[in-house]
Amino acid sequence: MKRIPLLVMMGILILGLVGGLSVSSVAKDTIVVAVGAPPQTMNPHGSDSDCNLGVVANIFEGLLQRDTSGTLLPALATSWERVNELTWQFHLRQGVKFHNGNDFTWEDVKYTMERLRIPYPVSEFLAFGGLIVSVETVEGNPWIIDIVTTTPTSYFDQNLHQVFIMDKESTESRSIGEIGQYPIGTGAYKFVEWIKGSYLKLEANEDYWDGPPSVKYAELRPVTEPSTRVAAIATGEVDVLQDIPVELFDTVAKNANLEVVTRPARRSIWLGLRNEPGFPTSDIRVRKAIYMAINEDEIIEKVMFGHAFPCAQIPDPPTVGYDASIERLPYDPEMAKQLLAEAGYPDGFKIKFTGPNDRYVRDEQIAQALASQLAKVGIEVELDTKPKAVYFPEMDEHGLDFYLLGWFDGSYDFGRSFTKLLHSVDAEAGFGGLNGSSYKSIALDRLLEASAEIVDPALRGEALRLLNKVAMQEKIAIIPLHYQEDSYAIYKGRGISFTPRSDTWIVFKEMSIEK
Amino acid sequence: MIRHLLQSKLLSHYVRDLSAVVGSVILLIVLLGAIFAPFIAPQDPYDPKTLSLQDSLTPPIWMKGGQAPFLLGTDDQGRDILSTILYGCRTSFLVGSSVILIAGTIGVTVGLLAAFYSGILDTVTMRIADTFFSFSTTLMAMLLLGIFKGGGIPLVILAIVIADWVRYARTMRGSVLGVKEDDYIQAARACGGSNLRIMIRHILPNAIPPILVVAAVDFGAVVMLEATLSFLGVGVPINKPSLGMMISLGKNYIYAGKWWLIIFPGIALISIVLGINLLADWLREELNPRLGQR
Repeated sequence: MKRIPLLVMMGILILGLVGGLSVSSVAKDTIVVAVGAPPQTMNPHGSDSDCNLGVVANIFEGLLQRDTSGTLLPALATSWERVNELTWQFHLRQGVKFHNGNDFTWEDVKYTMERLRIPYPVSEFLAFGGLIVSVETVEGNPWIIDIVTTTPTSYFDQNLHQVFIMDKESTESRSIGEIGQYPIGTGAYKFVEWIKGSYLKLEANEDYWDGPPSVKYAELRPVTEPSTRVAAIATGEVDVLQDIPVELFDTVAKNANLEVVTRPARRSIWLGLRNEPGFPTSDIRVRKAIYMAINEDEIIEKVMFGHAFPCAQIPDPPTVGYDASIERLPYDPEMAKQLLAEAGYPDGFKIKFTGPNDRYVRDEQIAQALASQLAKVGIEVELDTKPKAVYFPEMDEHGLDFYLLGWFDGSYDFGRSFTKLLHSVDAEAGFGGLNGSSYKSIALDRLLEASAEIVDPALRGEALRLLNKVAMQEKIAIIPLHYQEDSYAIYKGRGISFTPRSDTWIVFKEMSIEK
Repeated sequence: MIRHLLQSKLLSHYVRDLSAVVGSVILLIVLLGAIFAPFIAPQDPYDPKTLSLQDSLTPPIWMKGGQAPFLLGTDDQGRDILSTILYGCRTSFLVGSSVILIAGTIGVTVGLLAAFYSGILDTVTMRIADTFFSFSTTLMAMLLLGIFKGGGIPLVILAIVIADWVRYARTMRGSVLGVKEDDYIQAARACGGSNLRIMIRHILPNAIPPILVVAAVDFGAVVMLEATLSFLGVGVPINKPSLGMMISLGKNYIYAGKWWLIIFPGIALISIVLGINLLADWLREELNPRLGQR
């Protein structure tokens, strides 16, 4: 007698489960995206890494936004112009509400810009915040504001898509811990739940100023392990996968259930070298020798499995300051040996290489390949690769001899990149924050400073191209390797429309599901 | 007397015990391969000068695309899998035997002293041992490697020793307590033997057999632990060979159909652990008086 109810219950349970599954696959209103790197915080100024910005961009908005191809468009500001060297004027959008019901006003903009200046853990946009002198209304009209900067900053508007506007009232009244966990923005999606490292769930904002987004529920799932990531999309557990592991690319491409989309990434991978007198790498001949001893074609073919493109400079083509005429030094190990001999190192030397092992595509394997290639010209590389959580704080101390970094400039400006990456270190002025080896060239610093004073965008572009060319060709300030390739896999037959963005952000309002 | 025992029973039992013979043959093959790796390996896989990316991911020689020196294929840096396994086994044996030796010495000494003098020394050392024992060895070793930072084989050995010595100390203590009150010890004492002499000449030889069994079983566990730590990326540094690291690397290529990166090092690891465990089983049966004579 007791068995029957149990069986019935089990039957109901199984039916319920199967029924539940089939229902959810019929009326699909959720998109699940798997990404390689988990977001670190929901505080929109708390991290300037693209994997964080690209996620909070669903919940928050800047004054401006960028579309999939990177074009700057209005968002919380309806129009903007540079009224003089130091002043930028914005017309604000009216009738926008934060997710908690508060109205969006100019005070929120003022509050946000001031918040950028408060150091960790509040903001990683200290240098940008430091540029802002004041945010004021124009002639008492609360929907027109002037933002004044300390110095002429030609790329000021270019950065505003990633400076997310926060609600003054709810930000001031809550602790930083709570802000980092429960975000309140104006974006197309409202925050539902975030289990750090597991998933982030979002729900469509029905009151969004641009109309409610097409997909009702969105979920972001970080999966760091490459083979697990592929398994997640192969089984259809997720709908879209960002960053197909290159070693498994062919397996994914061959899978009939999956559609693969790729595009050249904005990010370049390059090597920094110390140039402090006394180090072998301060000699330009040694820098050239290392450059020429690296067989980049082989790295792309064998380490990146063809999914990368050689680069000759840090910026990518759309960045101001990119110069198409810069070419890579040829791969020539014999010449490299000769240069080393001329520089007084006929038997090579020993150098310590530091790099991340979980940040960029195949970073650790690239490091090993470099060690093997440099060994063939006599340079003995001592490898020290470590997790990014250890590597980046070490980099902040500017004491590395030889290191690997990946970079793309969110504001499309090589001047800003140079200031962060290669300008001689000056912590107070905010220069050289990511200059891992304290690279110092007074000549390059002067060139940058000269370019900053030019207001005319065309002329300034010219100056930055010159700076770039001198840095790459005369100084070998860094050794460029390659641009990565962005890749995505989409599960077919679910009617999902997805266009990858040039900045790799995952913006759910741009996606849709065909019914 | 010991010599007599070795000649008669131990040896004849060994020959009759098939699994012990199989175990030691497997172990011997791997051990010889590891010892003579520099002479028999086709390549020194950790000399960057000899590697070429052009050889990367070559399949085993009997498959399509396989080529001459790479009997079991190559990994993604062009390292010969067979050579890497041979060098990796060296690391395994080095770590295994160093840990057994160091942890064994520490453990035996501590256990002997604690049991012999008993009282406060016994209480204190055994409570410390209990504390160590309550942590999982893997967790403990990971914790220590995290604190020390950086890698290096000596550090891996040290971390495992710290996590592992307790096993010996406790076994030794129990064993010493068993023989301490025996008549011959009383006799030695009556003859005026010093404490040191009694401990070393009379107690140690009679209390050591259980330690041999523990050491044999532990060797397999330590080899496995080193592989686990390296698999997790906290053990041997990337430019040193390790079976665990090979397996960790190989798992990324399973879906890509490059099975040889993970299967062969896996077989090598299993062989070592299986071989030593078969031997340990036999040793346990031989040295356990309760099992009696067969």
